[in-house]
Amino acid sequence: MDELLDRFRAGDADAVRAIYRTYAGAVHTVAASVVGDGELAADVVQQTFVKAWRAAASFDRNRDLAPWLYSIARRTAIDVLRAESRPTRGGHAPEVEVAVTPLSFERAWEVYEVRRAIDDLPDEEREVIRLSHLEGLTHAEIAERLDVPPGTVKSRSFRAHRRLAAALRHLLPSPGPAGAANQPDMANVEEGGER
Amino acid sequence: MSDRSDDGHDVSDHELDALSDLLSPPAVWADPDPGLEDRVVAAVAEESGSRPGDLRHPPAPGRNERRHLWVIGAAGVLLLALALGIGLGLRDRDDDGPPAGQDIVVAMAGTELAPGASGVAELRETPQGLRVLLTVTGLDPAPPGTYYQGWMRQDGDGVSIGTFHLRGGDGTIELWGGVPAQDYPVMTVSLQEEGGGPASSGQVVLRGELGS
Repeated sequence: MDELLDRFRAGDADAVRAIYRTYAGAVHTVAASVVGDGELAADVVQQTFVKAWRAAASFDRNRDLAPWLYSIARRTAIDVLRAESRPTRGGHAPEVEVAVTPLSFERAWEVYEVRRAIDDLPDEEREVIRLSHLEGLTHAEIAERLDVPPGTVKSRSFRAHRRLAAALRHLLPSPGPAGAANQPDMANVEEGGER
Repeated sequence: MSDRSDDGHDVSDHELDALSDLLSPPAVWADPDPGLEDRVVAAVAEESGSRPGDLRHPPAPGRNERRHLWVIGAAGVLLLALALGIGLGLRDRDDDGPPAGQDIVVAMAGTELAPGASGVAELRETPQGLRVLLTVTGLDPAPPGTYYQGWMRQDGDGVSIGTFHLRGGDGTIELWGGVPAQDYPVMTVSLQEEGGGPASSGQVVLRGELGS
């Protein structure tokens, strides 16, 4: 990771692509959650990675890259949202009408972590989860869609849910009688993580 | 919902319900445009090795081959214009303006509304205002009842720099702005409807950024 970071700092195209491919989905999820999907979200993603590159020299190697990128993404998204929402100086209407409210810091971090967990799934498990939770298909319908036996869908679903539960345990209800959700682990996240 | 009662012994029903809540928002599954990776790489490459006025070359979305051809073509246009001091409408420039080397050249990339379009904008501050020579290729003529409009933008603020329709084919359009280019580092072209009012329609077909 250190070597990749060094190359990223130097602007090496392969390193930029590697970092982008690892985190773009999660960064885009935060962007889309704040500004809505579309060109604005794409702008946020691009700005986030460019800002990260600019600030990479000051990034503490002992920290995890994911929360640092999250902080940049969320702040960038809110900046873009505010810029698009305010009246323009020239009396022109904003190019895109935005009618969304910024997510709370905790909620935005939550969707970022969920997307990271999704992206860490093997492709075949990810697709089963997507069809189940996003499209609302049953296992039988997923089996038909993917042209695989229902048992394969069930085993993929089982493994995927187990991985997701492990990765997102801190966001799930605690096993205690109160059933309250644990607090998000944001120890490495700072407001305004970009320096 | 899925028949997820078979989904694992070590994941409780409460956890499955919570997972379902976490996984169901569409934003969690939304993917960035496939061409965005190239845009990010190009933006970093440009910023790491360029200065204001350098050619910017964001790629057309998702098409590496098209990107390379386009970059070569755009670079050729720039080199030709700088080497010969002519072309793209530069030969009648004001003598009291800045020298040609201080022109700002901005590469314009087609958005998802016009993925085959590209362009090069040459910006010059003159005593009369900001002159923009926009050379466009691959952009369809504006359909009847519509027109294209150029904008200089910063954050959410957009200032119109003129309108055109391209019904005579590709070519170089001369546009004028009344704001300093360095304060409005993003240039866009939107498709507008006649009678649709002075504001941008938001249907951006070309976009480019000045050097930082």
